[in-house]
Amino acid sequence: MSSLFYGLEIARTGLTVSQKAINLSGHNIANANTEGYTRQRLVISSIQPASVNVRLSSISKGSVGGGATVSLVDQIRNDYLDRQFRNQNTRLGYWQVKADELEYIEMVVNELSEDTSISSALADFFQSLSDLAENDPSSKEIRTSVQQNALKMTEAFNQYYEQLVELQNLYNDKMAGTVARINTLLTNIADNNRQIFAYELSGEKANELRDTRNLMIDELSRLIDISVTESEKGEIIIKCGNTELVNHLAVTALKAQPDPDYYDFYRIYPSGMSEELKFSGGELKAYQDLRDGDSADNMGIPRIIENLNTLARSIAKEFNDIHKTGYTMPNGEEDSRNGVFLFAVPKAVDEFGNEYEDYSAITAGNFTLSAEVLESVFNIAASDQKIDFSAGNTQQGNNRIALAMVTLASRTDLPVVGNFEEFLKSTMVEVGTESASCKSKAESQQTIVENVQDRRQSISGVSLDEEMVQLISSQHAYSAAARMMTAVDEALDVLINRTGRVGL
Amino acid sequence: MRITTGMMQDNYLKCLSRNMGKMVSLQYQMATGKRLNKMSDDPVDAMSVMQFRVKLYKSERYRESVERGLTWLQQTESSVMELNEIIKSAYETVIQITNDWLGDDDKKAAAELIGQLRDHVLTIGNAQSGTQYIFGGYNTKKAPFTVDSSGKLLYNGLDLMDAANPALIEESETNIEYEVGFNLRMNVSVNGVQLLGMGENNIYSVLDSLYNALKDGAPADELTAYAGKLQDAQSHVLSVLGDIGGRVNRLELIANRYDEDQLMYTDIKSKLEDVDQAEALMNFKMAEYVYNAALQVGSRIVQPSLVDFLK
Repeated sequence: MSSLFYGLEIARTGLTVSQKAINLSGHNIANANTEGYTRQRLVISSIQPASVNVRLSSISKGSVGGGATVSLVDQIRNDYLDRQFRNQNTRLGYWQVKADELEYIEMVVNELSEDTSISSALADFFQSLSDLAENDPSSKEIRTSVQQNALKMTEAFNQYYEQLVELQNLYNDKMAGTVARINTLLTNIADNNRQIFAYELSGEKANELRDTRNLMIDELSRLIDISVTESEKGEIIIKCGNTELVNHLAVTALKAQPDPDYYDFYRIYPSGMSEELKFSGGELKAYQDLRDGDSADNMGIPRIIENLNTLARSIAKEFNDIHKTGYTMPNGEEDSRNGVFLFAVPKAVDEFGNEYEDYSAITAGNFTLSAEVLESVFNIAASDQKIDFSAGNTQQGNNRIALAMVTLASRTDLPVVGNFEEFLKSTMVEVGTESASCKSKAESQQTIVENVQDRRQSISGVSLDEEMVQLISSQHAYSAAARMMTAVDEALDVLINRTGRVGL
Repeated sequence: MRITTGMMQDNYLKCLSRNMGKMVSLQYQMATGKRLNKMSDDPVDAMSVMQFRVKLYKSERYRESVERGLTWLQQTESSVMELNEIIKSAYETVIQITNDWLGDDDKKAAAELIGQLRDHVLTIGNAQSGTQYIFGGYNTKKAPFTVDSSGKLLYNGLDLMDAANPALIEESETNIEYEVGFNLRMNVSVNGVQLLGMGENNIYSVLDSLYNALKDGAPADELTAYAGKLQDAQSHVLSVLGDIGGRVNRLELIANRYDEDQLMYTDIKSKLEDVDQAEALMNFKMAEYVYNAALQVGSRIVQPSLVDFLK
């Protein structure tokens, strides 16, 4: 038969469990607004009666259990939702960065603005050419305005180029910065792994440490695409693609190494490996795509720069081809001559040692007027005949070359670009549509992430109302257990102090 | 689905932020007056706006070219009309003179008159528009008509009488062109050869030889021949005038079309690009109302909890 002291034990376990429950509710309430906190629950199990494990059951039937005990403090978390969240978060990191940066790039090359755009500089240039052809091809003032407008146009190209290259370098630096953050997170996660593993050896669950680790993994998922697996031994393995970044306590940090064949831009390697890391999402990939994207379906800075280069080359070639057949005006000692270029073209040497004009070496950054035209506005050729002040017909009114240059504005059959303004427009529209599409993708991705986050919160978040109810029921349980203790105490009192006192 | 405090707070903040975002973008539109501030606001419309902008530039540029062409042609026209008057005077003088009863002294007086008219033809030929000579073809900065020491008329250094000279033929076909439209070039000048004629019967030589004939006291029947030549000259000049008039008409039609086009392009561009202030204000008021409602309702869910009701 079980003794009264057994009853005290039972009451004591009741008190202990209720106390723990109250403490736990307090813990949950205190952490209701903590980021990444997962609500905790006591796993309470009832204690078996002692007789269950005894072979010879000599004790009478009807044995009562021994009360309650807390077997575990567990957190309520859904791993599947975590995985979903991290996948969507990676996408969000990618699209958000792309949308934000493309919006900024749009402002840099804003062709909708009427003052600073290339298209308005181009229009002014054609206007002054038209003035040259139709007002007075030999007028110094008009020639000066042609030279100035042409310069303004080339400077607009130069400016766009400079700003785009600056942005490219910025993205390169941001890649290095992101790699540093990733490495810090990886080290911290490994550290955390060590602590959790040590703590859980005792059989307890390291809830707060796990919350911290999950927060760090969430942050990591925004930067780079990862997959997380937990082995049965409780070891965490974090992989990016096929490369292990964290395996329990071992960390493979990432290195950003400058590549001398590619403007010293960074390439990302897992440390100790010679093959580049193949990552496919997250903020790191967004910066890389912006820095390296060079085609219509991978839009990045190189693509925009290449388009501007193509336009600059085409303008230089078409104008020069016409201009060099025209005659300049006599200028001091220089006679009227042909063969002068309007735009500067770098010279190159071919395999036979001959010098030739290399139009492919023109970029939007080095696009400028030729030295002759910069030196004197009289070196602009408007006439298709030699200008001779002493001849009967000086040809000073000859505007055929100027007219031919004016007509370039309306031609739609130019090689490579078709029409200058059309090409410029389609370049800018490419940027605009890409920016708009990234923006809408980022927005919809934001909604998806918020949705998953909501579901996570729904399962793991603290509800104050719930905790209050829990608190009250624990409180009542505590009072009831205390009552029971009083009841057993009184019974013991009767037993000890008042039994066997017959006749005293 | 289980709702937690955290969820309610997050949702509330998100909705507020979204509403605020809408209000901010509407306010920006109203402040700048433009619906499109960067290409991504509406890529398709932005593309159209850029297209119309280019069309407007071109239209304005061509309009200016047309204006310049008209100015040049009008100068030309008034000079040619003056030439017409000269030929008429010369003709009347010849008709008068061929009446035989006028003697040598009268003929000498008439010769002086014809001499003056002949020199005036030279002045007309060297007419200018601003600082440029209009009848010289591409020779706009040097007087195209000069008389050399032997009294021959030179056009751009070439003898006007030498009709077979290929250089002169080339000069007669050289005219100044302006680009007044898409792939549209207009000839806006009349060159000296077209003005006076080439070869022996150019107006200057006719007047010159008439002058010499009158000075030498030529007989009436010789002088009548000149009447015929002067009539030919006049019909030539009238046809030049007609040609100029036709060109002027055409340019004016083109100018009108550009004016209409500009109105149309500006209108369409504005419809695409500019914000309708009334509509924007209305949308803003709506967004403001939604924002206020969200604030009010939100404040009522976020505050109370079970704690307020337990003792």
